[in-house]
Amino acid sequence: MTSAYQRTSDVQPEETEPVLRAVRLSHFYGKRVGCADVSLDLGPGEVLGIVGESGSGKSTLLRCLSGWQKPSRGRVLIRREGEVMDLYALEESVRRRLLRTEIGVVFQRAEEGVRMRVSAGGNIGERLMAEGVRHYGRLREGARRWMERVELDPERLDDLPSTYSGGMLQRLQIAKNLVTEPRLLFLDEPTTGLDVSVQARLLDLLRRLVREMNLSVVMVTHDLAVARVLAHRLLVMVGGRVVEEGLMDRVLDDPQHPYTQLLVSSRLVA
Amino acid sequence: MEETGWVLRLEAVAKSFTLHTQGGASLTVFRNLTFEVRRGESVALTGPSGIGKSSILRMIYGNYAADRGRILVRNRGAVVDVTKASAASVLWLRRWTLGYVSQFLRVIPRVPALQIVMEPLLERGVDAGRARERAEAVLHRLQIPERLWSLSPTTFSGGEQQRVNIARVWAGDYPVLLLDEPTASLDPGNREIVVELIGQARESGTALLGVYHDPELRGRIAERTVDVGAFATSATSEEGGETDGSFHTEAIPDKTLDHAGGSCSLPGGGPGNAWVP
Repeated sequence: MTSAYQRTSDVQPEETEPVLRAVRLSHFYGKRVGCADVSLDLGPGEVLGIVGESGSGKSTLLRCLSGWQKPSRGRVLIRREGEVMDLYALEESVRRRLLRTEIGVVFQRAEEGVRMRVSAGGNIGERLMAEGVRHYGRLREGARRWMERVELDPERLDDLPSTYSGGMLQRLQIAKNLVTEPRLLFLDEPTTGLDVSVQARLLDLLRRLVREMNLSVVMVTHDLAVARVLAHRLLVMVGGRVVEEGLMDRVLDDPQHPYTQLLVSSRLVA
Repeated sequence: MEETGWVLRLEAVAKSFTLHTQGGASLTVFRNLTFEVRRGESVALTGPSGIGKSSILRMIYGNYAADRGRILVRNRGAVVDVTKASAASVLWLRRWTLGYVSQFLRVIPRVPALQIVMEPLLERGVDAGRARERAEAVLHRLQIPERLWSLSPTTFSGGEQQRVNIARVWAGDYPVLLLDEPTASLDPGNREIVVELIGQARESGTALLGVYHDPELRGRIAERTVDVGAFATSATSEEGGETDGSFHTEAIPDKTLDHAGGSCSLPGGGPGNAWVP
């Protein structure tokens, strides 16, 4: 069973430039701390999971990183084609455009990410239009292709999302976000509230797309099982701060911080 | 060929577990653990159950953190110290260098056996056709009936799951293999196949480090043993290596130290190998 592809590792541990960098991000709601002093790098093709209980600041951090919430302090840097952009220092119109084309966000509640009164195809086509595609046939074709790619029945292209199930809505959100081929994808509890079997299939789809498109992903989840399936690396947050960071399975199997140990040991084992 | 020849080297490695949820009790498992494994060499870890043999494999794989010391892995001129490496570097080692057969297979529901075995190659960018070819050959070799290939191993027997686990790692053809009781749940026929596979891997230059419960089997697989007991804290504790007897390493089986709380909470390799290892 010798083969040409054995041990053909000419690759070295890559010293790759991060795609996303957060520098000392803090956000406050009045006096209440959202997230405090968070710095992180995200490499190309890397999936970073942010875990913690509700109120730990993980969603605030995700909103700041994804361009939807200007942080009280700190910077978010995004690299695109060798050029580094300071997300919140950009002109508003440029930032908006960036959010529509280069960054995808999949929300836990599909209503936040999908326009329920616009057809599924229209939802997907919208992002393409933001990129300047105007030709009706091309928009339709792009939408149809992405319906297939996320395993939605293309026959449902003209249906309203309100007729879709929860799992289908998440697929639609994913298609809508990925149609412009962004490099950065943010997932906010992407499978929470779905049936276990629907969850498993969705996670499998996400894994596949991440690999095929070499996506860099930041995912917030309270579900450690989801983190285990999808994440390469984990940040553990408590009270707005990062208390532990490391390789996903190292954090889950040999947690060092008292809070992480508690989080891991309190999980119900199925 | 590197002058010193080792591909895996542990230098004065120490490991302890601090159980914050249990009053901060700290259990030192071993310290000063030093040994190396050369290319084409097969080494077995020995010592009483609970002494931390599996923990050593996990530390080398980056799944457990080391408190002190260095764990060096060499591949293609690059030497990576696992204890200090970034997550990305450890994942790189797992992709190209380190294969780890865990005691249990971790699977994502609904992902078929064939896909699981192809995964390490797909992760390296091998095209699906070639990955499939290779996966099928290994599955055949390990006598997994074809009718099972399209099914998720969640419903397989323990022996079948373990063979899928082995197939997955063998498909990857790694230069360094970490084997944790790879034949524990296999019948004699399949055990022989695995022994053969291990022998072939050795001949082709693979370095193997394993834990094998059965002494007879160990004798056939490994040419050298490292007695972990010699590095256990009860044997090398405090000044002068006197046994203080204050605690028994036997009392700390790996399982109870497994904070993940599940009997099969095995290290995942990130998305690439979330199912195993």
